[in-house]
Amino acid sequence: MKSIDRLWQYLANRPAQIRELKDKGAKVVGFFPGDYVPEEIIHASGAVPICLTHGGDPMAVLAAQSTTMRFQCAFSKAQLGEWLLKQQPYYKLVDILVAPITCAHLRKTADLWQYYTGIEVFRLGVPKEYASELGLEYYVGSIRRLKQRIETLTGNKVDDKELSKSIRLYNQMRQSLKEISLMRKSSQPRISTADFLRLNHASFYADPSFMTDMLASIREEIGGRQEEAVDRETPRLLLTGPNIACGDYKVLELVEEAGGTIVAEEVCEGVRYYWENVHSNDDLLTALADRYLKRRAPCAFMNASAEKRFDFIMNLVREFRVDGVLWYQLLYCETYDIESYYFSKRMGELGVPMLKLQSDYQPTELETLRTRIQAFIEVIRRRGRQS
Amino acid sequence: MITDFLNLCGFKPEEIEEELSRVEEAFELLGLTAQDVEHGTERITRFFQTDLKGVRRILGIWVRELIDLVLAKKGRKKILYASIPAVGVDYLTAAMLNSEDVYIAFPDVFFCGTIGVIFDKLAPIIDAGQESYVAPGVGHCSLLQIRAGLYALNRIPKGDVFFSSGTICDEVLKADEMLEYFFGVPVHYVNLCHDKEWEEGTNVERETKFFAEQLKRCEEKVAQVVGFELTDDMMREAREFKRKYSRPMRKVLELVAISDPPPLSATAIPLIRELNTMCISKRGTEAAAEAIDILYHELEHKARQGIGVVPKGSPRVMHGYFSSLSDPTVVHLLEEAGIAVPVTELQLFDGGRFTPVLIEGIQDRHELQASAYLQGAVGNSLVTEIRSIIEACKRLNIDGIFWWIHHACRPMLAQSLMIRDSVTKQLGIPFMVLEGDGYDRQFYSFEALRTNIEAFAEMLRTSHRTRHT
Repeated sequence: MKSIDRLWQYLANRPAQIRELKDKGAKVVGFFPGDYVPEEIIHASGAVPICLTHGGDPMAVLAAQSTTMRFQCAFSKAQLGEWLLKQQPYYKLVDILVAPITCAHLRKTADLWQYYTGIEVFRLGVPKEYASELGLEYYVGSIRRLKQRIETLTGNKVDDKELSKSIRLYNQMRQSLKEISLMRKSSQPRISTADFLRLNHASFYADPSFMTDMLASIREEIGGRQEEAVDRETPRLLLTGPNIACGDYKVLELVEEAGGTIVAEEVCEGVRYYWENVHSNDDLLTALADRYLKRRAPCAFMNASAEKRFDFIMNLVREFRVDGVLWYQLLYCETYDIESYYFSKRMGELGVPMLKLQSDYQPTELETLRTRIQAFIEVIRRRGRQS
Repeated sequence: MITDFLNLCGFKPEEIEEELSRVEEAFELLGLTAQDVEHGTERITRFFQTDLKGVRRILGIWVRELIDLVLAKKGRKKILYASIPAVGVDYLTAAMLNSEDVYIAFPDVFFCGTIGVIFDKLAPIIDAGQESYVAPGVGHCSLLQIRAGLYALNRIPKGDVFFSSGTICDEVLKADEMLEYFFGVPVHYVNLCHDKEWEEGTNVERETKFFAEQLKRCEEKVAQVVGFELTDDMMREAREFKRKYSRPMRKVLELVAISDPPPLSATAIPLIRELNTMCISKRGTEAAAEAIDILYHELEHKARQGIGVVPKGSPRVMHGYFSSLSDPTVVHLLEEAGIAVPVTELQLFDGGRFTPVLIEGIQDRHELQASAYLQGAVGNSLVTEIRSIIEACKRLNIDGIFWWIHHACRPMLAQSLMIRDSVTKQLGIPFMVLEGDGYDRQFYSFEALRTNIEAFAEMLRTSHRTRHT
């Protein structure tokens, strides 16, 4: 596809482009993923938002090992490791890091950044109460502080007009992602989830205007594609868990290799990111808080989140006609691990097969993952035949 | 056998007579056999200074709290649970003091201090917990595994509410959410948002206000469950009641911290501190006040004579970030290796709780309570924590730091190494970080630990000699 090729070319040059913008005085605001940092505020200030989401590389984990202890998850270690290794250019471009205080792992990685990199860190308070007025009020206060900090950094006032424009732009981008995502409801999806996740990841690094245009073209091109002939027996899976880092595609590849197909991904770099848009509201910060805290599918580190996310996932299971669920989490991710028990019990009650996989970004885990995925897909195939 | 055991635990003869049948009943429910009692007796003698009546009485209070907990189903109308990090202790105490029908407990902590410390029999409970939502191999907090295990094995009554405190970590809130789903326990969450910048210090308005609201809700929940409002008078009475123990306890801990050698083994320190951190029964608090007073006089006498658990002039370490609450062997090994443990890091943060700095302009009762709590909260600010450690090391002539990290405590993992880096640079003293567990001794190997501690003791002696010659 022409547009996708253009997008990859663009991304190859994106670090150099950002460096040029920096030379001209633009500020680069890095932030940790999880979809709790309203990029709109950063964008409206004229700064360049970059969601730091690389992972999957054991070397990055190793590089950070001496700064912390083993029971911190591989993704959070990789966020410091990437900076230390200097492999990913984006990490070195950051002027300030916005760290949403979500799970304990990323919270401590924020401390590590401050201690070891010398780069300023802004901690964005994310209350664990996603549904209460108190939580919402606190979060509005947090993003107000963020706005003030970004204004000071850039010297630009973020007024309602600029912020509205950015909100519209990001809404459009998320909408396009959602429309492409929904194409996978088809019995013969025209885009693989691995490719779709790459689009999601691209949206974290690309300029949102460019990305929105690209997504529109990609959507059109995909729409015109022939539906891929897919074996009717190919099990349709939903992938869920905390996150899929940019570069951590092994599970997606192993599923394809084993003859399955992932048709939806309920992770922070997937459905949770594009499913909900910001609704217009008189007070824009409240509107952002409503989208980023209240209406979205809550992560496992939120209070009393399991039931709500379970219902959300079961809707996806029905909508995307899913045969089985893959739970993919990072080793030592304690809140998701606890929820996995709840999910496997509930899924079991409803007759939905679920396989739990864990990763510490180590190459040695590959064969175990492969065997388990192959067995799971085989089990689903047999169930399909029997029914 | 049980009579001897209770006698060793400081029970008075009339108390033994009165309590024996309840103790027997509870021990039976807990599956504690004569052999366990014998083992417990041996452990108490080995790890604790049984020549100190105060220490024996403290142990007895823990045993009594355990018995009350196991038999709490009988005749109580309302059962309220909480755990550490403790919040809302004033409210719980007020409720307990004003109704005979209200029972309060910190169940998992009670089990650590008794079934763990005395009987060394937590493993089956932890195993039962691990079979549920807190599986092994993922680094789950063993305190939460104990909590889940207690419910899975039906060791404690369900309770009318469990106050879940997320003031340090996220895991506790998530694990307690599962208590609701799988055991039908009503849970009330108490949150804190850890978004403070390092340079913001300990009094941050948004944090204080948010936490004050959490405390207010906590108070309302207590009132709702017990069925009566908690008045200002009740709260004052509760605080005064708690001070009966906390004031002399501070004197004891300070005496131990400044004495060379410390007259009290650090094996007893967690048991002494936690009685203050938690809310225990009215009878328990009164007995604890009496015990701590006795202990102070006993220790004063030892200190005057220069008697301690290690010889005078032994290297002195600060034990961070907290010593095991269920296994005295770790601290005992340190003392066996000739290392004095006069202070634990957690004690440094008791100050805020007892004598908080009053912030101008705060009038609201809950905000005052929130401010006081946050000034005394460990892990609340890395900068404050490092400063407190350095000041205490200087004041108490500390030769080294033994940092026993509860491996599952995510907020403290990276923090530990930053503290080590910073303290070592500023003080140049040996600082040993060991990956351990605060509640489950199955996590570490005793022999590996002994080797590490012996090596550390050698480092300390060399460093101590260099510093003092």
